[in-house]
Amino acid sequence: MSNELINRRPMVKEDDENGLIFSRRTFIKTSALLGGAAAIASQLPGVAKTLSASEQRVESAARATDTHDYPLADPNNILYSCCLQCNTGCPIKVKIVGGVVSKIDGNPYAPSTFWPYLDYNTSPKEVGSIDGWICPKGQAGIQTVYDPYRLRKVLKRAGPRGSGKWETISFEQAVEEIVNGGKFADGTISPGLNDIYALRDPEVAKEMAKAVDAILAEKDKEKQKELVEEFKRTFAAHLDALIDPDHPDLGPKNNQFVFMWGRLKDGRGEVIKRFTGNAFGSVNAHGHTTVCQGSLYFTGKAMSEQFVEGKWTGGQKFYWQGDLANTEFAILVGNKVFEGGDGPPYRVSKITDGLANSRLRYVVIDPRLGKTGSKAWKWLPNKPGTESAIALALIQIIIANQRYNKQYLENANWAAALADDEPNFCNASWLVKLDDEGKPGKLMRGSDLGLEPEERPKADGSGTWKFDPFVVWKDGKFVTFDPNDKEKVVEGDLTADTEFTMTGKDGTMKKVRVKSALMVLFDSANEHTVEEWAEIAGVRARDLYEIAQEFTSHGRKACADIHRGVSQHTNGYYNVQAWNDLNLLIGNYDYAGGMSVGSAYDQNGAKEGQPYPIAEMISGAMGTFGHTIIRSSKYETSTIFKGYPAKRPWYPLASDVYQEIIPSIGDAYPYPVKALFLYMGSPVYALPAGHTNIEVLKDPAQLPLFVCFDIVIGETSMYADYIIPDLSYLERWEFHKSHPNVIVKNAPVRQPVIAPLTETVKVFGIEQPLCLESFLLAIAEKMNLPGFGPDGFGKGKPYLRMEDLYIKQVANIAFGEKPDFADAVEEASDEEIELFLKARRHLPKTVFDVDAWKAAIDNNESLWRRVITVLNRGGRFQPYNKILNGDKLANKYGKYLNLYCEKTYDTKDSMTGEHFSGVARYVAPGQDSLGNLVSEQDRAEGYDLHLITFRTIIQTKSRTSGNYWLRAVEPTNHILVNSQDAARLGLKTGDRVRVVSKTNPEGVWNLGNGSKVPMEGQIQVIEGLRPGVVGFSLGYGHWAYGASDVMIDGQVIQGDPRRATGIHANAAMRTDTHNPNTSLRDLVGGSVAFYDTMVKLEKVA
Amino acid sequence: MTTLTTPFAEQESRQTKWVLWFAWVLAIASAGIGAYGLFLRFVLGHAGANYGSYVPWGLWIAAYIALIGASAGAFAFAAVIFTLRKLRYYSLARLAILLAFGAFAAGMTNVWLDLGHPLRFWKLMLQTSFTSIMGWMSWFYVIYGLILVVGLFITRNGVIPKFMERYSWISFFFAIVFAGAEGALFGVVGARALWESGLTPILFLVEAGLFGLGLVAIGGFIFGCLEKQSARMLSVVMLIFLGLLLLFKWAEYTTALYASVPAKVEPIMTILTGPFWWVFWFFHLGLGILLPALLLLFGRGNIWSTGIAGGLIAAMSLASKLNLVLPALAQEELKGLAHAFTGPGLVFAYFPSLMEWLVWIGTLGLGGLIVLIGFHIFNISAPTYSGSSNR
Amino acid sequence: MSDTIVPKENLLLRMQEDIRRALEKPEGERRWGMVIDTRKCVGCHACTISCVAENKLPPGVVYRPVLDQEIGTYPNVTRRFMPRPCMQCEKPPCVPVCPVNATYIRPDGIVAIDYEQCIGCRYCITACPYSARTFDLGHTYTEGTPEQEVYELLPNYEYGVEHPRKPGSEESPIGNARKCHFCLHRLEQGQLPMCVTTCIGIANYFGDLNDRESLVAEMAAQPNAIVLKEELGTKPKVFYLI
Repeated sequence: MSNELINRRPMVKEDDENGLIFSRRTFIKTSALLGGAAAIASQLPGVAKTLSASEQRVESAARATDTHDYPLADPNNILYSCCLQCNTGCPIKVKIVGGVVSKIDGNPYAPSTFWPYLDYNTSPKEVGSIDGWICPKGQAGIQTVYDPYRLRKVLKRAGPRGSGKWETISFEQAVEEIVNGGKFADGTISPGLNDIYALRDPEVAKEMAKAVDAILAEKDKEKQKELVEEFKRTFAAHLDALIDPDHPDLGPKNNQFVFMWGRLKDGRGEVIKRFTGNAFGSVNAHGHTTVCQGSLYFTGKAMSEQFVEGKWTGGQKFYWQGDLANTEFAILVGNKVFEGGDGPPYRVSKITDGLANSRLRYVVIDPRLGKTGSKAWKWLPNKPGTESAIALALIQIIIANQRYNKQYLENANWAAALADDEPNFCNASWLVKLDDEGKPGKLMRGSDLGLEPEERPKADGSGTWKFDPFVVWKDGKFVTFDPNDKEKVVEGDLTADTEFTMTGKDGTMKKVRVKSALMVLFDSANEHTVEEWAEIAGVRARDLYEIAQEFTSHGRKACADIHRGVSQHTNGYYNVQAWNDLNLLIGNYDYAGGMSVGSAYDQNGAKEGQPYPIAEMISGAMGTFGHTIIRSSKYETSTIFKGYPAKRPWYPLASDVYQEIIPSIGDAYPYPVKALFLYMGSPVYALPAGHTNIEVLKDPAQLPLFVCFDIVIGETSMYADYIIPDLSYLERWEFHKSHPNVIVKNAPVRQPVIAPLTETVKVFGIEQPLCLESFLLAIAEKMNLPGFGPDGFGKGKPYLRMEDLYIKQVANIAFGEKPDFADAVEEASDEEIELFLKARRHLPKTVFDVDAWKAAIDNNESLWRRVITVLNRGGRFQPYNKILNGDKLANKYGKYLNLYCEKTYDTKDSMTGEHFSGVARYVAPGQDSLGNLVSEQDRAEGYDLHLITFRTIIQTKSRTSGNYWLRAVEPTNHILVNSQDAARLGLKTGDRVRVVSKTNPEGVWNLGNGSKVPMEGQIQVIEGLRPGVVGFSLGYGHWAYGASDVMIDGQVIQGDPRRATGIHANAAMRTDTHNPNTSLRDLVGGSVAFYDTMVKLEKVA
Repeated sequence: MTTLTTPFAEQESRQTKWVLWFAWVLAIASAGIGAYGLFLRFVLGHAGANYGSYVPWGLWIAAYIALIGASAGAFAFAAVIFTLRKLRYYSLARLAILLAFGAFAAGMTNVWLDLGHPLRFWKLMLQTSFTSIMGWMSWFYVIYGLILVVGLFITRNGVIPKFMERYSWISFFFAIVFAGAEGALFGVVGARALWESGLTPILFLVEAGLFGLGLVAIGGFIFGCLEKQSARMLSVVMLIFLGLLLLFKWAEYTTALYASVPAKVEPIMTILTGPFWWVFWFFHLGLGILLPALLLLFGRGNIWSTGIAGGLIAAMSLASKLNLVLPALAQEELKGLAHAFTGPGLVFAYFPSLMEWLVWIGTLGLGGLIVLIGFHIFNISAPTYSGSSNR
Repeated sequence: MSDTIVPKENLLLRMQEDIRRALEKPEGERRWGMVIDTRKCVGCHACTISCVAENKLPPGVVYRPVLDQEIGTYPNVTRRFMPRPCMQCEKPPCVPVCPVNATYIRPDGIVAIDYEQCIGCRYCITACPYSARTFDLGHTYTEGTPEQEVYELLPNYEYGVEHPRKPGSEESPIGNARKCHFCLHRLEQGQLPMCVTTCIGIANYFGDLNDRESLVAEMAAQPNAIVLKEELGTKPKVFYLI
């Protein structure tokens, strides 16, 4: 076999000019991962030629390297992009030698990695010797990209799913089989996408969608049935395209195609959504939000719902974070900003600066001290899941002592807010009706006082809507108002607690008690005394008084900054709401040092005047309808409503409910699924009780086709029918945006900085790298899907290669958000254009084709130069002197906020039929979907240690195990135990134990392929952990991702034991009683529960 | 005037022949094993070794100082014999020089292979830094090597010329300086509390003497150069050295332990109670000091007991030197270093790798072969004469 | 109105200015030094890894580990982090022990190693009281995996010389003692040592201790500045603020 065939890595070769001499013998290693087996090479006569051509390119690139003393400071060897070693997405500066990444540093143009960051107009030619900072994972990204286990060619399973046996197949064969069906070595047959793509007429789809909307809007079940019959008559010719004609609300068969993803960012996000929804007509495109911090997002959504034309709508899936650059006092709850929490590179320097200059003190509330706790003023090691108890205690102290921001909270509408120069306002003063038991319900309306609702025209002119005003209590009177009114100032009495007499439709009179939303919250906070709350949370009451005092002593420059430690509980939604409410009490939203929202330049051109409105640039798009497989709709209104409890929970307030996707497929609820595409996600590894997913994934009867996009064979992709090798983050495009804690408006751009490591394929006649985009384009080409191809972006506007989209998106960012280039970046000078080209001299035409790139933006020279300006800096970043507006943040939320969430109250728990609470309240953690306190039950059965997880800055959950530099810092993780527990259990550092729980008494990962991975790890006895709690850090205990042997084309690829160290105890996490194939979860906010499991540690020899 | 010393050749017993045979087999086997070790050393480089950064010196350095010490001791013994003109021991003294040379060669091979860049060894001589004890030592080795070669050359045919006696007188002192300097190499390292002591060079001297005598005793036994009288003499001297060694060790350990300075106590406690406690108690103290002492005390100077005691002393020299080198290095100089960054060589627990063992065995084989071959070339078993120029 | 945000000076840019000023002086008049503020160090190991990446350090070689110590008992407990670069002692015990003058103090105070001169005897490693020197055994991180990755073989630029890595050979720096050199090659370009640049807590100050205007000189004179193992008299040019 020729070594030429397998040396496909770009490499630096003999180059006398700068003395880079590498001996070829170093690379003589064969591996089927590289597609290097002789048999395959001989089947692909084209390969040798392509490779040697690409090698030549690399060679000439290496020669062209300037003879600079220190090539890493030479701007010609530097490209700016965006990290993806974790989700923080820090802008990076990548230094390239001979086509190979030599060093990754922070981008000095960006706020996350340099502070204050460079002026945007500084020429990159002058920035060669200015490096920003970046965390250790960011540095180690080189090892993610150049992972010895990277895949190059499509893999097809050569045994049963999960058997670890694979064959490499050609791209064309993969596309053919996935579109038209494939046959596997074990005799199983997979369906093709063509079978699932049943409804193909966009017009019919739109009509059906409308009819289904009407069905769902009908509350009377009998009438609903009639509507269904009518539907069947209307669409008699198309019923075979439906999953179930008797339940049209399940949607078309197209919905049986599901696309799910883990770490997806914009750019690729648009591609997947365009493919799944617009092109394929499936509603099932689902992200992973709930495994991260779903309840944090969906509480944000609930609190941001706006009152528009009589409805609560427009709530954004987002969250706030504290502005640590300006704050004077921060409470960090379940949020280890030194190690995770979306942004150590940005946030740490703000904290250390604050500490060194005595600007800042902070409190850490977390069962584990961690690194963040080590510099805290106070560390409160609370019992996991009791975060809201602490927040409610603080709320109680603050309200009782009237230390809240009265002026801010009294504002009931926009007019009042504007009069006070406030950027936002909330409904603290609005009146809430209480039921007979004193429980809060709907907001009081003018109609309750007998006022007739007012007819108002709809904004789009499509008719009228009825305005029923809200009510406050002011100076002994009810005052009705319109929250959106910007003229008439309305303020309300915050301590309102009164009654009114309601006349029913039948004329009966009834006294109804009403309270201000703030008092409703106060009631909730008064369910216990401060001392009792402290007892519940396991902290000292004295600390709570001190913290409440401090929190209310810095004006708006104080914040409670929370993260997944708060949200990933069964009570996550209310935990989050309680803490968000605490911030509301001091009115710190949109203030410097208070709570901040994320802000980014829009790459999708949705803003007025932007050149490329991506979402609209499509013709013949399919309309989608039907319940999603994760049921982000109301159970009651569906035609499959069968009383309570539902078979599986419905999540009307949440989307991207990751933990529901695969188990729902397994349960075929609400319908069976035929094909699942999984992109950059590893639910088996990442989810609590992720092992339950294996049962579904390994069974072609439950899931007939399973395709994964991955750069290696991971814990989940090991069960795939096909693995499509993808590009790593340094070889591809994305628009990462940033996080709420970054107060700067910015838009980092991820762009290819090295030649693709995957094989070259041909789609639409163009050579491109094998990756997500080229594969989806090829499917679209084969199936003739709308939204892709020669007319992909509208007539005559092709979408043939990934850059056809991405360059447009960069152009939108460069153009800015005001018409006529008013907000545009400067045009690149000729010198900068030269640098742009020279710095990319090592990139092959498959990923860098100037003509094609320019054509993507219609050869608009001015736009092109601005695109270059953005790409030369790795994105766009707002000027430093524009980020504050007086004492406020320039990039603001700037909208109404719900202290009391009426929409949440209006939503029912699909398991009990009860209303959710509209106000933050304490809910005991560790409940199953039926409301049983399973954590407490398990504790009573002897599982007396509370399991938590955490992240160190050294690892990201599932994708950094091949980063050997990081492994050198922490070669393994441990099971952390407090010394008191260690003494009680007779354990010492270094002992090996097995983690067992009620729902995993054996303490193993059953891989479903005959092997079991025991959940065993080493004990580390520490002081900085609450007794009774044990924890392990995420990112270790791998059994795939290069950790064990696989067989490709009959050749064994040996695993690397360094990648298998440590323990991953997610499989011990508690499963639900009602749905044993799923972990515990928060039914309101959708979060999966990471921290509500009780375990035992069993010593092993 | 010539004096005939005892002609051993005639007394060579069957037993000695058998031992000699065994020595040949052992040496050849060791050299063969060592050849494989050498192969590994050159293919794997240092990647095949278990020493590294926190324990930068391992088996090879311990073996090297043990062998060099023994060499110096053996040579000093010969020098004393020649200086004092103890004619009846001349044959044993000739053997001692040969043994010194063999041990020297084995020791130097150990340290040479230990170098990160063995082919740069010439820099030691041609670009020496004389602020470094090691710089001085490298010159001392050259000189010492020359002394040995010259000594072997002068005595090559069993006739010990007069000037050899004066030559010995000078080289005896050189051997002492040399062995002491070897100790100073460690004694001056302020970073290692266990080493940094005025006692270290002295201890090296005593050990050099002891190990040298041990080597001569076992060598004499194997080659049949030991007889009643020389055996008795050796036993007495060895006992004295054993006593001195015990005294110095006692002084060193007890003062350090009593002073309770953790930097010093920790390595000593590592020696006494650490994971390799048995190296000290069993090998060093038991087999290296107590058992030989008992053999010598109760063996009444017979050939067997003296030879075996010497053999034990010589063999256990390694244990002593391992305990000097490793525990001093196996201490975290800064708390937390062991877990701050990991990797090959960044560990404080050291056990020699297979490659290290093989190479070490090979160097012993090499030294053994040199001695065995030298024994025949120089015909050491033949009668030895003093001073005669007419023979 | 920007008074609500403390007008910030970019400390890294200021220190780069300090360096450029120092570079204008003769080499012998510079005295490079570092101050590490342990109050600002969060133990993230970015410096460790950046150093490994910058200098292409193989397994077993590390110039700047970060020590992590837990102090106290529950619930009164904290952690302390201490990065450990080479102390660049003014009286370095490692220098006199070198038998071939391969390691020496440069006029600017940096303790350097001449890779071509070093014979790999490791005497200097035993002599350093801070364990700041490590031995390059010749490993690579991806040895024994399906592919020896090229990034590990790219040259480093230590001491201003390109050193590509050739595993299996005994070409320097393989077989050498290696240590932190304050990224001399970057200093010469007017850049900060990699660890200083990449610190996400901006916990390091670096520059010319002889320059009264430099930030590092100011910080080294703080009342809470200490050096490690002061009693040894090695006179480190790395200071810690505690």
